[in-house]
Amino acid sequence: MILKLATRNLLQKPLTTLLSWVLLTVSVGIISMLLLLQEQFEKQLTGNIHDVDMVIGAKGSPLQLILSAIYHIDAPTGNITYAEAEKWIHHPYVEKAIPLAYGDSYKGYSIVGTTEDYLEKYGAKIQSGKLYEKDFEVVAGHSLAKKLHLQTGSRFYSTHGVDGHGAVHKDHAYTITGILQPSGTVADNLLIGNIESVWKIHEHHHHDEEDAEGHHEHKATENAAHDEAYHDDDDHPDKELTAVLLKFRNPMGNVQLPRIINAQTNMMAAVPAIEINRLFSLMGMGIDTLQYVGWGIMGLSALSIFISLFNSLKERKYELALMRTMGAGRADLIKLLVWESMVLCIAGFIAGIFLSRLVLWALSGSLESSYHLDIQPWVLKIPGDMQLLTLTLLLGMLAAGVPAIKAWFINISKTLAHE
Amino acid sequence: MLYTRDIRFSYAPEASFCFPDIHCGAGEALLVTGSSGKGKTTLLHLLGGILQPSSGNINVSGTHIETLSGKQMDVFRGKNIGIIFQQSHFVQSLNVLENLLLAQWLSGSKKDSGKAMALLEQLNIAGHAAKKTPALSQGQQQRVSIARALVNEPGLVLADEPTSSLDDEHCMQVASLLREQSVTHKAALVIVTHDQRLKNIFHQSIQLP
Repeated sequence: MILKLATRNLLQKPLTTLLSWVLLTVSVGIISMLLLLQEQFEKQLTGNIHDVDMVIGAKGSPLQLILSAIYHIDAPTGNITYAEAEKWIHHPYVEKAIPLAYGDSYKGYSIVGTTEDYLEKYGAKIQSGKLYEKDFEVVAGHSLAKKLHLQTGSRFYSTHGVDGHGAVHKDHAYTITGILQPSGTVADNLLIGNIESVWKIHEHHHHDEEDAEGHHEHKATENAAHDEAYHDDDDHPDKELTAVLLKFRNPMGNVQLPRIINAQTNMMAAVPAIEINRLFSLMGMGIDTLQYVGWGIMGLSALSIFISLFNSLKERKYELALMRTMGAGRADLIKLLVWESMVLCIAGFIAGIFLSRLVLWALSGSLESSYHLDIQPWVLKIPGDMQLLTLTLLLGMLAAGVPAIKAWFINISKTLAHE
Repeated sequence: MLYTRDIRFSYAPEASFCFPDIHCGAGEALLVTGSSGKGKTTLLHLLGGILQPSSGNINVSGTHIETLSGKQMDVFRGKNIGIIFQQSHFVQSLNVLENLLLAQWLSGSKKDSGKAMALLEQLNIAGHAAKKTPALSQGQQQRVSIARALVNEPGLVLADEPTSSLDDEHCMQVASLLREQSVTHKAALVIVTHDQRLKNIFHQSIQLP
């Protein structure tokens, strides 16, 4: 009954209630959206660097190397020779090394030449079709295949560069031999084949338009073009790689190898964990700022609840005194006021959670296409939601506090006699 | 059933009241008259347990209410005392029927809308049960407050100037309803008023000095 009365009292003043509710909804919405976004973002980013202790690539920005070699959302830093990289691939500290040759794309999705270790690392199993066997055969990641409507047997020409606006490699068409199961990793959005395909494409490409354009800083195999030795696959004398993903056998590798490589070779070693932390802290500033805005709005909504309760108390003093004559105790009046605030807060919280999911759902399309971030907006439980709820309810209590104390001290006799 | 003995009350040392003893049996009605400032409302609040006497006894349905604590008094008042005010006031956000149900609920008894509707029926306002109270005329509002005062079948009904804002016709209606209902529900009825018209209806009366 008190709950019903509280709800009715709120509805009695629809506009004031609406204002408080909207403020609460927006603040909870912003904060919850940021929490969800941050959590999913971090989960996706850190999930992909699992088992990658170090990345070797051409000198440049280490963050760019990580973003391109692991997430394929940036351009590659350049190429390194296979011969030079091989020393480190077989280094005693290294447990596993996965060479990567990439830089070409199809409709904005990277084509990665690599070994089967890569698929194994991401736990990407074949869902339909079969694994690539020959050159120019690739398997397609699950979400990519769905988005581009690719099937086993589909053929396509790759485009130079990762932005989808480069020259098309018309000499060789890729054939899709299989579609991967969804793995929840970057592999879902890649076309994966063997390294040799990437090498070959660039040789022919180079021969054909040798003088046409100066594409120096790109892709694998500038030198390889002038070298006819690419048939002996087992030993790749002057082949080039874009990056190598390494996993160390022991922590000594972590400490020593990056320093040695950066100092003594003209390659660069980047540690994903460090770079991603740097990225988070850069991003964190933006998220923090938005979060402060959210908390600010929440403070405003608490103020608005407080003011409306406080103002209505004046008019409702008689009503409250009347309830006392009908047998309501002081505690009942406090309960009533607190419930009014609570009902509003709970309604605001629920609407805010819903709003945040709705906004994320609307955003997920563009996040997916521009960053290959697979955001799941309809998850109910995220860390921080419980704290957010507690905080919202605490604010509600606080807003109801002063009015409730005033209600406790209402002098029934005076109030009734003076009306 | 109500009786009092030697009640005194003071807001301040210089303004103290001493009230004559009152006795009012079940089903009886007592008019308390007196001009303004004689403590009519104060007496009513004392009888209703809203104020505490500085000395003396007030016995309502066998309980000395001056001995009850604030919390006990709230509970006792809800169960045993129905109060009707000069200006009818209600919980604005609830309709007529819900106001009666609230009174039932606050008194600690079960919500019984059948009983509440029957009472509204007796008072001839059942047709307005779903309306919000400000939509009713003053006479109708006063009848709703009578219904609210009686809905928990209290042993004591207190009325503070229940007719002073009503015209002659409605005054008579409300007065006779009050008397009828208190007889039917076997409640002691105490009306505090300066309304001379009521003296023609209620014969038992005392005047505050």
